[in-house]
Amino acid sequence: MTLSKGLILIVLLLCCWGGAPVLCCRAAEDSKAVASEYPVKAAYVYNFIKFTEWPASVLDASDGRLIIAVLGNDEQVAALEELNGKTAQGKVIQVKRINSEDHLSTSHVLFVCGDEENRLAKILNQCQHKPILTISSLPGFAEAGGGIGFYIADNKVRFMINPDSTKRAGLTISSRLLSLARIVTSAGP
Amino acid sequence: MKAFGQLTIEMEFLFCLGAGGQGEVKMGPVFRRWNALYILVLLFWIAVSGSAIAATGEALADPSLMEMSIEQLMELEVTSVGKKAQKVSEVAGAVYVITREDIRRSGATCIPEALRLAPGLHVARIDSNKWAISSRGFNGEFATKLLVLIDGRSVYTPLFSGVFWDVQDTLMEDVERIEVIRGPGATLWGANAVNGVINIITRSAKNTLGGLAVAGAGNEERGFAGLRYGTKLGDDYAVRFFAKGFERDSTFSPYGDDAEDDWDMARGGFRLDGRTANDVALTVQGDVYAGTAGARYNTLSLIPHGDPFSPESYTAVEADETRIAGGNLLGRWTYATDTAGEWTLQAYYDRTEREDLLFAEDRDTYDLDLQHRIDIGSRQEIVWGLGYRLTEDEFTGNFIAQLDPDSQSDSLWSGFLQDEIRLIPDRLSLVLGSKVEHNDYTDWEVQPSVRIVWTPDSRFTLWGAVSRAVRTPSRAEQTGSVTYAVLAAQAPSALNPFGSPPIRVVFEGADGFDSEEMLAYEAGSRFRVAEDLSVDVAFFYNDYDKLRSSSFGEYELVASATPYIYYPVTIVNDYSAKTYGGELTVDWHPLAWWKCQFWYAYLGIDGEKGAMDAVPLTGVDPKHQASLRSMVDLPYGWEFDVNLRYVDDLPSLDISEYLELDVHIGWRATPNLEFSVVGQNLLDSRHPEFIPERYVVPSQVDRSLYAKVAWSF
Repeated sequence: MTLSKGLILIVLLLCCWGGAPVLCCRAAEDSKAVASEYPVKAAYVYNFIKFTEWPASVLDASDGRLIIAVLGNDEQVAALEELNGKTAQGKVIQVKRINSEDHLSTSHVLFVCGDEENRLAKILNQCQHKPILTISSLPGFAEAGGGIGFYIADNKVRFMINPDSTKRAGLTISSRLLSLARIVTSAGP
Repeated sequence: MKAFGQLTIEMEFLFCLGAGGQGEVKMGPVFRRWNALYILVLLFWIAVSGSAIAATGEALADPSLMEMSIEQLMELEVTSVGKKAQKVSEVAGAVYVITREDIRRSGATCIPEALRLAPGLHVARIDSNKWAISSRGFNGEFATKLLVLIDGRSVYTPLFSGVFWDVQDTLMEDVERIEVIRGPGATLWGANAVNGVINIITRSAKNTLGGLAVAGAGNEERGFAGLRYGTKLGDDYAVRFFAKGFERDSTFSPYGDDAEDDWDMARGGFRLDGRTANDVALTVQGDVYAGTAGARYNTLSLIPHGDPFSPESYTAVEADETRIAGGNLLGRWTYATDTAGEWTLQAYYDRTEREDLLFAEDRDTYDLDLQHRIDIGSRQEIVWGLGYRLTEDEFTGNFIAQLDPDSQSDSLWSGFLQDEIRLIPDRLSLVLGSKVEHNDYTDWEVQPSVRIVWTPDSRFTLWGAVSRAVRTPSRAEQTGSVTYAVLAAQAPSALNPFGSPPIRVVFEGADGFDSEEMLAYEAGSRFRVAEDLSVDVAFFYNDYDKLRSSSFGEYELVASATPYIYYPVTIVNDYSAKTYGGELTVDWHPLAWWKCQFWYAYLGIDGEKGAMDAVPLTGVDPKHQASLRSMVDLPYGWEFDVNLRYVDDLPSLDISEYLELDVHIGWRATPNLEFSVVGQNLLDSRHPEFIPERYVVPSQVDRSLYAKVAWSF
C-alpha cells in the first residue's frame, strides 16, 4: 500500500513535469541565466585586460607574462584562476595569489578580494603611481580611487571605471570599454 | 536556514551480534538481470548525446564565457548576489563544507558516501543500504549524537534519535553543499546536535535551469538514472522537477554468501525559488520516494524449531525487504528589511512509512520555525528564534519490538538566542547563546554556549568554545521494549533437577530515562600558510554524563501455554565518559590544475565498556582516521581524482583497520556532456566496516566500479 501511494505521487509529479514545457514557452527571455557571478566577473577581467594599454616598457619587462595579482580570499579567486594560461595582447596571463600589497612591483593587474575591505585605503595607496589596473567587487572601490569596480544591477554584473585613477597609473583604457562603463570620479582629494 | 529544536526520541534496538543464528547459509547466485538493461540505457544515452552534440542549450562550463564580448557579458543574468564576509559563527567552530565539486569528483552516488569527504566524520558502511555515521565517537547504526538536516528539515527519526540513511537522498547533482560541523551545535540546532551537525543544502532552482539527464551502471551500482528539468517562471521565479531511481546490488556476508541487502528506490521532487512582489524570498520544495531495502534478519522465537536445549533452535535467519516510502513539503519565506533585520519563517511536513520484519512505523511530522536576525548598533548581531514541532506515529510491533503506547503524539517547543559581539571589529568577536527547549519526556532543556574568535590578520583565525549539549530520550528508550535474546531451555541436571524453560531477555525502556549530557571544550585555528597552502586544526575535550547504560532487573516466570522466564534489563543513565582528540586538515593547491587535501583525525575515549549493549560504549570508534585526496585537471577536459582513506580498527566489534582507494576519471567531452568512470573500495575485494544493530546478519563492503554519463540540455 505504501509503495503504490509513492508511485501515484510520482506519476502526479511527472504530470506536472509534462506542463513544464508549456511554462517554459511562456518565459520568453533573451537573457540566459548563469549560475554564478564569479565566472562572469572573471570573463570581464579578461576583457578589461584586452582593452587596457600599459606603458610599453612595463609589458615588455615581464618575460611575455601578464600578471594578475589576487590579494585576499573569497569566492572570486577560483574563477580568476581560470584565466591562467590565456593570452591577451600577445602575453600569457598568470594569476598569482599574494598575501600583501607590498609585492606588487611585477604585477599588471590587481584584484582585491572582499575580505580586504578594511585595508582598502592602504592598498590603493600602495598602487598610487604604479602601472597597475586595480579591480575589485568591494562597494565604493572606484570612488575610493580604484580603477574598475564591479556592481550588480538588475541581477546583471556591471562595472564602473574611475578614469582619473587609471590615468594616474599611466594606463590607457579603450574608449569602447569606457563607453560601456559607468564613469565615476574620486570622492575627496 | 537553521532548524531549531529537535525531537530527540531515540530507539535503541539491541541485537544478537550475529554470532548466534547464522542458520541456513544461502549460496544463491547474484542476480544481474538489470545489468543488461542499464547498460543498454547507457549506450542509448551515448548514442543520443553523440547525435546531439551540436545541439544548442545553456552552456554550463566557463570556457564559453571567456569567449564572450563585453556586450554579451552585460546581458547575462547572475543569480547569486555577493555574500557578506563569513559570519563569525561560521568560523568559530570545526566547520567543513563539502562542495558540489568535491561531490562530483568523488564519484559518491548517495549522501552517506559523500560524507566520507568530511574530515573527522566516521562513515562506516554496514551493508548495501545501511550506514553508521558519527562524529567524535559513539558511532552505531543508531548513532544518537549527530543531527542531520536537509535544507533545514530535520531528518532525525524521533523513534531512536538517529537517522535512517536509506531514505535520505536527492539528485546528487542538485546538492549545492554539505555543511559539516563537528562538535556541539546545540545553540542554534537543538538537542541531538551533541557531536555534530550535518546540513545538506540543495541548489536554488535559479541555478538549475535547463535539463540534465544522468545515467550509469556498474557491478554494485547495478543501475541508476536521474532526470531534472528547471525553468524560469517569469522574471522572479524558477522551478525545477526531478526524478531518479537506482538499484544497488547486494553485498557479501563474512561467510561469503549473499547478504541479500540489495536496495532499490525511486524518488521525485521539485523546488521553487523566487522573490515575491514585496521582496520576500520564497522557497517551496518537496519530494516523494518509495523503495525497498533488503536485509537478512536473525529472528527470535520462544518456540524452538529444533532441539529445545540448543540455542540455535530459537533463532532463524530470514531474508526480508524493508518497504520504505515517504514524502515531504517545505516552505520558507525570508524578508530582509532595511532597518529591522531579516525575518525567516519556515514550515514543513514530513511523512515516513517503513515496514520490515521487525516493525512497521508511520510517522507524520509538522514543524514551524521563526527566526529573526538583526544588527544592534555597529558591534552586535542578535539572532533569535522560536519553533514548534509535532510528531505523530503509528507503530506496529511484534515479538521482538514493541512500543507502549503504539501510537503517540509528541510536541517540542524551542527557542534560542544568540548574540555576536564584535569586541574589536574584524579582530575579536564573542558569541554567546543558548537554546531552550521543552519536550514531552524531559521537560525543559537548556543548552548554552560561549565562543570566542580572534583574527589577528586575514590569514589566521583562532577560536575557542565551551558548550553544553543534551541528547534527549527517544520514543523507544522511554516507551519501548526490545527482546534482545532468547536463551535456550535447560534440561534437568544435577544442579537443576527440573530444568528451566527458555529465558527471554528484554531491554525495557523506562519513563524515567533522562537526557544524556555533555560539556564540550573546543579550540581550533585556521591558517593560510602560503598562497596555495592552508591548514585547519580543531581540538576537543568532551565530558559526557548520564550516558545510556543498562541495569538488570528481577526475572519472573511467565506461566503461559509456552512458559518462559522473562528477564528484564532496564535502560538507565549510569555511564559517563570523556572523549578527546582533534582533526587536522591541510589544503594544498600547488598548481592551477592540481589540488590536494590531507586530513587526519584522532579520537580517544575513556569510558566503561558496555556489558550488554550489542554496540558497546568504547571500541566502536576508530582511534585514527586519515584521508589523502588529489584532484588533477588534465588537458582536453579530462579529470583524474583519487581518494585514499584509512580507518583504524574497531576492537569491540572485531573489525580490523582498512585502507581503501576511490578513483574518479571524468571526461567533459563538450560543455554539455560528461562521462565518468568511478572505482570505489579498490584495494580489497571486500571488507567489513561496521556491524548492524537491527538483528541483521553482518555484511561487508564490496569493491565497486561504475560508469556514468551526464548530459545537460
